[in-house]
Amino acid sequence: MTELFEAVASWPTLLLVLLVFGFAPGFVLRLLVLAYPRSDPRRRELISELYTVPRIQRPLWVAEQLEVALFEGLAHRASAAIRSFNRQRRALTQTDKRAVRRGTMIRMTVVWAVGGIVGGILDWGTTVGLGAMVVAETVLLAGVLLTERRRRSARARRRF
Amino acid sequence: MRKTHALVQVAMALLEDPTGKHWGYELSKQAGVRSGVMYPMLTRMLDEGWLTDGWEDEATIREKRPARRYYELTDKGRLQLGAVLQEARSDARFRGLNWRFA
Repeated sequence: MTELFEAVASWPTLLLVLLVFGFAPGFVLRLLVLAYPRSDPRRRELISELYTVPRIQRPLWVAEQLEVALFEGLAHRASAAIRSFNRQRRALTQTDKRAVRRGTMIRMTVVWAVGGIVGGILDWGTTVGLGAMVVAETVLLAGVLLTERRRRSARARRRF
Repeated sequence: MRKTHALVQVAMALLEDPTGKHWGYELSKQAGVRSGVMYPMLTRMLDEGWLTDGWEDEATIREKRPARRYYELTDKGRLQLGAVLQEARSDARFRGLNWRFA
């Protein structure tokens, strides 16, 4: 914890923050607005508002937009993703569901096993190990869903 | 919409010029509300039909900047926000606010 504090409060970090927020607020803002869905007018709105903010206040204003982007933009994206996931799940037949569940369980077991072996070899700490596992599982789950969607659309095309 | 200090402050700022155009940054300065709170509130007001939005006419912009998004109060918005302010006036929670709107 102390190391983290020292890293955050160190001079290089402060200089980097000043450099990024102070000299390139437009660039940082353009990255932040990517949190919004492509069709959201807030993307264009925030960028155009930047030019009306006095130069001296821009770094702080851009930093404030991080909060807006996280809470509004990501929330929109998350709710859209959940809606689409639920739609997909409803569209799956009982056999599809069983296949997805079985596939996911097998892949997750493999990831846990491989992760455990690699973690043991590399002597990872518990936090790093668990973090890496969670990331791997998320990527895997997204992969499973995407594969399933692709498979279903291919099946629908064949039916046509 | 839940009646909060931020909502009352934004309502006051909007009703200072009930027929005019309001811009995000200016509105946040005028209301004294952080943009992290104000923008989600504006989205909710748009969804409720209290506000309409539009984009500045590019031909009228003299400076070198992109067109900004503006917000205008609808009749429903004027009524609703007026009611919010009326209720807030008699609410002890909002006694500390600087009441500008008559």
